[in-house]
Amino acid sequence: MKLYTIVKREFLTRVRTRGFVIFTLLLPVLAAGFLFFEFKMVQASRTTSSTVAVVDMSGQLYPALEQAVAAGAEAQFFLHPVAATPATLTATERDLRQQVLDGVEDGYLIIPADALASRQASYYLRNPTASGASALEGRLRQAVNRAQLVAAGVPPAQLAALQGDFTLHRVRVSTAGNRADTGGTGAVAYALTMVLYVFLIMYGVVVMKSVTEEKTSRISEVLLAAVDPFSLMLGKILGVVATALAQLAIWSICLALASGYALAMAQAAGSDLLQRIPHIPLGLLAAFLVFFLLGFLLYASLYAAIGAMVSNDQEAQQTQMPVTFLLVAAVFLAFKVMAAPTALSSVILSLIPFFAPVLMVMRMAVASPPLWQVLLSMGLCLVTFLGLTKITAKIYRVGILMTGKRPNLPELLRWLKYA
Amino acid sequence: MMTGLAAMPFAISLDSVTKSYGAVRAVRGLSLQVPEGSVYGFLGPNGSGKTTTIRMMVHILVPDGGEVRIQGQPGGDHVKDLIGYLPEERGLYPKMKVREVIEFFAALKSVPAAQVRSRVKTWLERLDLGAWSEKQVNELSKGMQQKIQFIVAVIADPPILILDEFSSGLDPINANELKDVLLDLRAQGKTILFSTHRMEEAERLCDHVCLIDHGAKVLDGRLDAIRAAAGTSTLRIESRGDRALLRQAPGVAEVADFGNYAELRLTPEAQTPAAVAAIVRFLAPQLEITGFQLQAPSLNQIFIDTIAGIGAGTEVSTAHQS
Repeated sequence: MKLYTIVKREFLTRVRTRGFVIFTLLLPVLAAGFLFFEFKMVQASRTTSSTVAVVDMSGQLYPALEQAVAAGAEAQFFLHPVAATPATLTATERDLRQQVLDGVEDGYLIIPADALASRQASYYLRNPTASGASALEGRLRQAVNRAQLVAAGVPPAQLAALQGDFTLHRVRVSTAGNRADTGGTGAVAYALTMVLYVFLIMYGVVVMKSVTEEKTSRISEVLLAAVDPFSLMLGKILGVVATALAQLAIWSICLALASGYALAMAQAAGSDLLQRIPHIPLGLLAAFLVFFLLGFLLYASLYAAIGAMVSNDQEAQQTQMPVTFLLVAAVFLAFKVMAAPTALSSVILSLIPFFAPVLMVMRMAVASPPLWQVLLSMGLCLVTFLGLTKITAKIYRVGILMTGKRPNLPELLRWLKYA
Repeated sequence: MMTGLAAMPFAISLDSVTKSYGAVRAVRGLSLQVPEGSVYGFLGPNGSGKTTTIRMMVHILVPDGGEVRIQGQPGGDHVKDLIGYLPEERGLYPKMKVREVIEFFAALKSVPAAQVRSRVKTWLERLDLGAWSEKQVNELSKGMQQKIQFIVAVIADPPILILDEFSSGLDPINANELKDVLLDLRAQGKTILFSTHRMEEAERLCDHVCLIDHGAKVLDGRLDAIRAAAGTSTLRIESRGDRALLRQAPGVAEVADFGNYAELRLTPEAQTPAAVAAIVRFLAPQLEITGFQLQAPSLNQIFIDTIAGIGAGTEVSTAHQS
């Protein structure tokens, strides 16, 4: 009951601040605006058509190129041939150059006489970095291939079959049975752990401040006269974590709505976007949520411990370094674990509570660790969190009465004895 | 008052309580009993261990040795709802509304949710703060915040109230207002313990006192019994003229000059009406005496004498109530 009162106050006073409301609502709006802008840019670059003058010195490629360009979807080119002989080439080029500068042409393409053998051509335009150039490159490759195949005597009917794509299906072997893997699961797991990382950095400081503020404003003594320090610390941590989860939930709903809409639009436009989304197993998602919560609680309790030790923000900044280091280490180790998910070192690292929320999720994404390891690391996280909170409560109880300099380790141990 | 107090558990009792911070022994073997329904003055100079002792009573600190009992139960987190506590260092959430802060602490002190609102309203109106209920705490004056802090201590209607240096920082009007509330609470049978280093404040309010110094008890008991035991050894004289003469009067052991008046401590032989008359006769021709009174020594004087007595190795007689 007292715990609930602490959690409620912590949650409500944070959620009701103008800063929280604005930031929570503004971020999705900004993100949506940015995506919309990006989308429009891409769309614009696709729909702009370029008129390109083509000087085909090989005399064989122009028809094939025109055909390939007509079949391509990425960018639109309006090609028109310009006749030239080796003797007039220099003059023709000069004219075309002037036309590009005058804006009559968007660019011109010179296909040398030996293009079939050298597989090279030059595209002259004002902005060579524009995305259209690589599209044109692809079309040229197709045209050259086609021309070479035709030259080799392949019947036109077989050409299409010869130029098709090839797909390699990746299938993951795991205890849960074989399952098609689109290769994105590891990336998704990494993205998820980054979300955890960002939230921890953002909210760890909030927990820490919330503890030091009560110390500096001398509220802690009134609080401790009403409630035991463990409930107080637990309540504060849970309150801040609830705030973070509320924010995360709002953002997740926005993201779900936006991506649902985008997928529906893509589907309607006949895109295969839906098939290309990496498949995330439900078990992994559930494990991620559990580890997210545990990791959050664990690091929040570390930050709370720092808050209980120090007496002002400046000291807090210095003292939180080791915690930040732990977090950064966890994220760096994730690369190693992703590369060798079943190595003994990976197994051990993923059981260590401060690394588990990142590393175990990573292992689950790329390999299939035994269930007992997953449950064990969850259990260790929970026990560590509760133990840390208990220690923090002791530090807090003694720390409020001590003002002055930050304790060193032996002093801290003595504090624990006083409480 | 109920009879047979001895049969009832004490509101607060300490048995040989000790507490050290490293090498500093803040409280050493302190035992005391706070009777139910008493106004108990917990006195001592600054740094004598009052606040440490009080923090052990409310279980913010845990004693190194000895035992704290609240209404007969061993001290701990479960007795926190029995005590309303006003710490010496006050603190409220500056950004919260006055009403919300009090409601929060009320809920934390297990006030039934249905009663919280009306109780907060009643208390705010009683202390003339009704109009400030929806304001942020940091918009209030220091005196108002002190009153809010007081409401926080009493909101749960606890049977025991512990106030650490409660009048410090209060102006006379607010101090008086809160004193009236305290008298009212005493009439309802609450036990009130307050610590102070100002003896005259304790003298006005308390029926029991406990004096401590350097973490150990110097003297405790009923105030009237303590003063009776000290005898009528003090002559208070209001006068104009050269005060240096006071020292030369017959039978005067010591002079404490307070500016507007002076207290003369009399030798045991001089504590009779005849001897007092002789003193007045000695002073009258040279000083303009506007008033004099033979009285018990002030608590302050008793305290100083007792500590001096301990220093001199004299046995201290404590006046326990029966």
